[in-house]
Amino acid sequence: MRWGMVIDLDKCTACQSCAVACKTENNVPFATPEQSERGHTIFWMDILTRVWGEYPRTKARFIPRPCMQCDSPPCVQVCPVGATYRRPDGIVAQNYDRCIGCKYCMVACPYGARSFNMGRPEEPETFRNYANPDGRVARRRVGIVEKCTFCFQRVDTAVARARAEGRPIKDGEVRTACAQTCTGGAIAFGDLDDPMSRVARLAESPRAFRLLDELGTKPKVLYLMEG
Amino acid sequence: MRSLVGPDRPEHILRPLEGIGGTYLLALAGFLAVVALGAYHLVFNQWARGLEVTGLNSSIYWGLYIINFVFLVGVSAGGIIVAALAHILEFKAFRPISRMAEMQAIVWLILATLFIFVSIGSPDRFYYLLLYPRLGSPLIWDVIIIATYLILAMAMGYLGTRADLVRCMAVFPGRRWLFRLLALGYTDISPAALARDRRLLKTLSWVAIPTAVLLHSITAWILGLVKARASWHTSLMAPLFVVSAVVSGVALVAIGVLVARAVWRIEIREEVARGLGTVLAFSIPVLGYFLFAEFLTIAFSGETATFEIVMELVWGRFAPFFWANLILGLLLPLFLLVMPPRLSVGWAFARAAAATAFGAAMLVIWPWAGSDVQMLLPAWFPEWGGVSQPFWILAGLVSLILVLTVVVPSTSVFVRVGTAALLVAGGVFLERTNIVVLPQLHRFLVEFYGPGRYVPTWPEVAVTIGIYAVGGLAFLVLAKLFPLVELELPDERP
Amino acid sequence: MAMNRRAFLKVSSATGAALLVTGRPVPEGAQERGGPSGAADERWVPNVCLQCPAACGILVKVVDGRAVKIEGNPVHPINEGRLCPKGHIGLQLLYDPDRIKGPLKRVGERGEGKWETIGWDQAIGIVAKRLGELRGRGEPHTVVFMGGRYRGQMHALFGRFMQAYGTPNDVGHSSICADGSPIAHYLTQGIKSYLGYDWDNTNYILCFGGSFLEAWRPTTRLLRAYGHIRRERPVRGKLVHVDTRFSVTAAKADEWLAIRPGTDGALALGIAHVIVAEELYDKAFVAEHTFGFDDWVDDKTGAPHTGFKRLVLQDYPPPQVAEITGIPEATIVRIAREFAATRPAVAAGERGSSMQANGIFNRMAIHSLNALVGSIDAPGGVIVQRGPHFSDWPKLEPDPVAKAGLGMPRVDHAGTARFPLAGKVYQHMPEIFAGAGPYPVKALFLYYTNPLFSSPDIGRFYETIKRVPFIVDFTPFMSETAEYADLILPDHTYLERWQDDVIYPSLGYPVVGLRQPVVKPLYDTMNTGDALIKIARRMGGSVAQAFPWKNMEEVLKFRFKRIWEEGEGNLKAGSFEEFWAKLGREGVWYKKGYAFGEWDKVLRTPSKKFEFYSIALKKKLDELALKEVEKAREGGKESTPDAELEKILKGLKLTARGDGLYLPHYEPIRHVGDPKRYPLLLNTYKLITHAEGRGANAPWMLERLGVHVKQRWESWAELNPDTARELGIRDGDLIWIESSVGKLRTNAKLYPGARPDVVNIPFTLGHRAYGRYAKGRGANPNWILANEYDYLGGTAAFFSTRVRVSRA
Repeated sequence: MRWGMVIDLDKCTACQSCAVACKTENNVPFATPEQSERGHTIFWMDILTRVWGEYPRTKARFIPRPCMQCDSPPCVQVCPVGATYRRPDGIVAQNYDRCIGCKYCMVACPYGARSFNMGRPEEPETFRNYANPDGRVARRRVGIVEKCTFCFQRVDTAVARARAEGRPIKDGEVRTACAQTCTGGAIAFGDLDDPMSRVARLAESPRAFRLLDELGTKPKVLYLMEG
Repeated sequence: MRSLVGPDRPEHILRPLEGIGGTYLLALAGFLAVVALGAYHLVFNQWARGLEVTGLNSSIYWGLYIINFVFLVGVSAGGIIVAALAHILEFKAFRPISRMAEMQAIVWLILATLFIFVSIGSPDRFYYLLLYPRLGSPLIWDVIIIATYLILAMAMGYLGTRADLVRCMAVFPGRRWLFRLLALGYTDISPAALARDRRLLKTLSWVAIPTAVLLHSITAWILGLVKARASWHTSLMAPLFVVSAVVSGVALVAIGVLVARAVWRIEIREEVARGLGTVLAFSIPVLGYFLFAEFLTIAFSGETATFEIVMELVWGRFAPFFWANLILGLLLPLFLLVMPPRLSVGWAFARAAAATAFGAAMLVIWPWAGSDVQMLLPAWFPEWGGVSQPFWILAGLVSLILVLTVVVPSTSVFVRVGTAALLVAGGVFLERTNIVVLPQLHRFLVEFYGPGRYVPTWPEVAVTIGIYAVGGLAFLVLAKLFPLVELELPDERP
Repeated sequence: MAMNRRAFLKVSSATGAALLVTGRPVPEGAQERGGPSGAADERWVPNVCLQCPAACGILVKVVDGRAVKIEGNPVHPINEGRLCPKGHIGLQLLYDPDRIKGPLKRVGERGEGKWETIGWDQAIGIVAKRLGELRGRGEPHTVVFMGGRYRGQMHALFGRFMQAYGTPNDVGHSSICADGSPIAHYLTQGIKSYLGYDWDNTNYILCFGGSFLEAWRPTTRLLRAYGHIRRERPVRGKLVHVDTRFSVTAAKADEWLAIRPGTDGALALGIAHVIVAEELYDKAFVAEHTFGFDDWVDDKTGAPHTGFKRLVLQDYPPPQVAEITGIPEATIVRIAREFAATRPAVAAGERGSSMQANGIFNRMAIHSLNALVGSIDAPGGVIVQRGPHFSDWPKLEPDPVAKAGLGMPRVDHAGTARFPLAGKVYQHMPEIFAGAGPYPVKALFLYYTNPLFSSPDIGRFYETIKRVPFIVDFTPFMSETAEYADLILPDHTYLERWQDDVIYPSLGYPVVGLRQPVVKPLYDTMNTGDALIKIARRMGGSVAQAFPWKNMEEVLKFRFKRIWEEGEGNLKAGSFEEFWAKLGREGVWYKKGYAFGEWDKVLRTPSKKFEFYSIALKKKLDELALKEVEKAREGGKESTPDAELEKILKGLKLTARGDGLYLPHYEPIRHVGDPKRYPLLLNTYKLITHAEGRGANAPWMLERLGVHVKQRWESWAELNPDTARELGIRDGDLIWIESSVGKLRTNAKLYPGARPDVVNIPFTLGHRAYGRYAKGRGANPNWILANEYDYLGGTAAFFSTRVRVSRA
């Protein structure tokens, strides 16, 4: 099993729903205006934006950016305490209880997919009510690194359920929060090892490419080119 | 106790060990105050609130602390190389300063680890580095090599100092127990024992040199093995770091020696300064050569991400650092070191005039060059091509002219070597800054993320100064514990 | 590692559950000890989103009485399980720390913010007493209801109240929303509402000024359609977006036509010209289902009339249209050929084209393209939304006082010669408060609307609203307007209340979702439906008799009964109780399938055809002219209908005369402000993260505010880099933007997608109230928008204000 994601930029509407859904699913704190101003934001899923050209020949590109879940993850390579590791199912996970906050993994990630808990989140008491009570996504402490986990809590729950029922997991049975909410239907999630899965078939598309493929990180998040 | 300074004992060396004066206490208190300030910001600001009190942000994760770490590891490696060379080559000029070099190497390295300690987000888990080391990580290699190196440097220091400590036992009977303790109770100073010490020292020195090279190579590889940052991932990174280490290490040794000479009036001969100057004068061109080779390769390949970093260095926000490093940190010191010291007033005047003309020309050309580049830059980099460069260039040129007209004609080799050493050390610090910071601000996918920003905050600076003050304290204490120069000087031996 | 993890996970559920029960702050760093919550009480409760009126179905995860996650309801046909970013922030709305926690009575000055918390009984009593007094004095018509997002039964319920009470003054917000489209639909199809579009099956979308991917409705439906037509069917559809600004929609469209502001109608007519001249139009449809295409002769008078064909051929040749619109001639011709050849194709338009000073005719022109290519009530074309068959309301018998009140003219001049086609003129109210109306306003009720934030030239509202002696607001949030109220009867948020929600016109077939309390109301708030019923009952008499239900839930059950009885759609049940339970579980009732060809429902014009030539417009204007003649006669003056019509048209600032007036045509765009003094044009627009100012206190939206300019938490003004350079403005500079109305300060954002002669400011922030995150943040461009109209429809012309920009 090798979990992967295909994001079709041709279907992406740049609506940012994925980024917000991710926050609510994974207890990712929002940054206050002051924190935002100083760049202390945390986005497991972010929308990369580029606008260029001259009016009216203006062009733009929007790229949803989760963790690329590299098969050859540079972050895992450099972590001095093994706090980030590649699970057998391909998910690059982060052990929040082990991380010492040296930020080497962040330096080593070419995609900017990792975030640091710079300071304590500032949120009113009432907002604590909506925290996802799943202990696996409990709010991370100050001073450590966190990142997109392909919603491993959803994956693990689904896999465990399938196992308990004595059957293989079905394609589409588990979706990350971003894939689930994706308005344009641009995000597909599934097992890249299963040749019949939607992601595996989409990965074959001539439009498919990987971000910074030349670095040899072997991302399991693929994109389909626009147009 | 005072009377015990015998005629055959060089008084100037032992003087610092005597009693504790008012000035000393004042210095001690001063350093302590700075340490306290740093500690306050570390504990009650940074640890209480998190790294949000620093200037680090989502585009840069390693800042002032790591710059200093890299810089200090470098000077430490450089220091031991000087000491080892002295032992191996029996380079007489360096014998008197080898102990100071070793002391510096140890202190700088400890400071370096302190910088790592303060840079991490969860210092309560610092020991995880020992508990759960992942051997694949260059950071763990660094932990290992730093530990090895520290032990080695201490062993070398011990072997080179033991005899003097035993002698001090005789000179300062009141502190006999202390010196005995420092000598680890091994008080045999028979010629045979001393010869064995020296043999061992020489052997260790043979080990020390590759260890020092490795130490700084590994530090380079912490960055150089990261493919995620344009311009880090070059095989030249380690050699460049080693040469930078030698340059900055020698410079710091020179500064240390000159400070000791000024503070404690330890007699340092001109040939020592000249010798250090020579090492600098030979290594600066090598550093320049490496930098040039790197830049030429980048310029010719025109590889996007790296090229943009170079553009940012040459024209952009980091231009002040870059040009200061190049002109004030490399060219000027080299000039100081190789120029004949004595020159007629007319020559000095002519040089100053030439420099002024050059500066004026640059100022005239600059706005044109600047605006051209600004026009070339895409609209989404509006903060590029800042307005402050002319100011920086002007400031640089003024100091250049000052140095050329005041320092260069100075007859004192100490002044010239000292100035060169300061400039070189500063230059290497700027070089480290550029190397550590810029590729983070100018990451891959920068066309999406936009260039980052980094300005160290006051708490960050305070902690940094505090750590350096720890070093100052250490030197003050060490100066009371050990003779800074060998009592048994080589030329005094039969 | 993984072994460890699994082992830890097993121990974890207990911890997770413990955390829930205690409701402590989010535990830190407990990943390995954590695990699935395993909480005893974990449910998914269906509801309907209310971040916009699209009515997407949602499922809310409730754990131990707390709402912790919102996801799309997979069975709801509008969104099919997806959700736009706004949908998720329901949690931050529900748990908004600055919500109003109970009924408030003003004790300080208006706007001072001094309140006394009172009980509901007392609050209802105050309102009932006041309303009773007004009725007692025979002045029920002086009560005005300003409302915004009425959903489901709420509008009917309020309407019923107004009927029973006796006021004609139902002033909804549609005249500052997007009334241009419904009015254009009314003139051409006889339907005064938004229309649906068969997006999934269309091959070509020509979209004029409607931000398809950001702000148009129903958002998630459109976003889904975008993905669908591009990559989920064998043929990839094309989206051509006409906009002055390089919006996200423009960026993601296949082609962007950067048009000169306010000239959309001309472009549509230029395209029509090519289609007609090259005979590419659907001749069968035009012949069978349209009126006024060819020249025609009036049966009664024998007068010859000009048809649409002649008009576009004569007046809108591409070179001329290129001149007006700034779109190259070749592009106009190409787009016209593509549009006509790629069937089914659909032309749509929204605020950017419709809420202009010439908006209604713009929209008529755009909509006429659909008739030309036969895309009216056709697969892949325009469809007409059908509603669910609710039980009929019980007969309402207004008493004589109410009847007298209802007989009074509307207070806002809607439908008069000033605003002939308007149903309501919301932004005109300040003048009315100031005494320009037929009678004074003595009480004002506000429901889900915030005129002190969202109407053009807000200053007018601030100045005059104080003159209304009694103001009641039902808002759950302390909005700007609420701060000026005398009484606040706070509503539940949508996650706490019973309400239904009929979808926004889109799919064609009937869909209605159910809102039900997901969590127990957090504070002492009350469903406004319940409050209204309570007020009516307290008043007694015929008003009370009009509301035989105890509360909103009963109203809903009453109204849904017929849907159950008809037994159609997705929910079939033996008993109503079973039906109701099923509805609660599914969250939505729908009856899929759209019947094409029911022309009596699709074309409701006098001619029963698609009217290029609007008989309704002609009739309305003639009626008004006759009325004026009569009025003149009463005043002892003689006048002719033609002379009065001319006067009316002058008042409406319309330039067309004769047949051209009733045909889709381009009215030259009007702007407010001297072009020399104010060289730039102000364009305000909406962001997908905006939630129409109602999300202004939700950090999740604020920190992702403008994706195209990478702006968070703050307002900005988009300036073309060349324009900015000329003005000496750099990116991020503070700038003043000044119009003839006022000036505001915000940050400059150099944006290559800004037209050189236009400044774009998102209508998003700039609240003076609304909670800790919203208050005092950013700039609200409405403060400097001139209150210009498309007088014909009483609609706000949002894009007519000229401005100048300078460094602050």
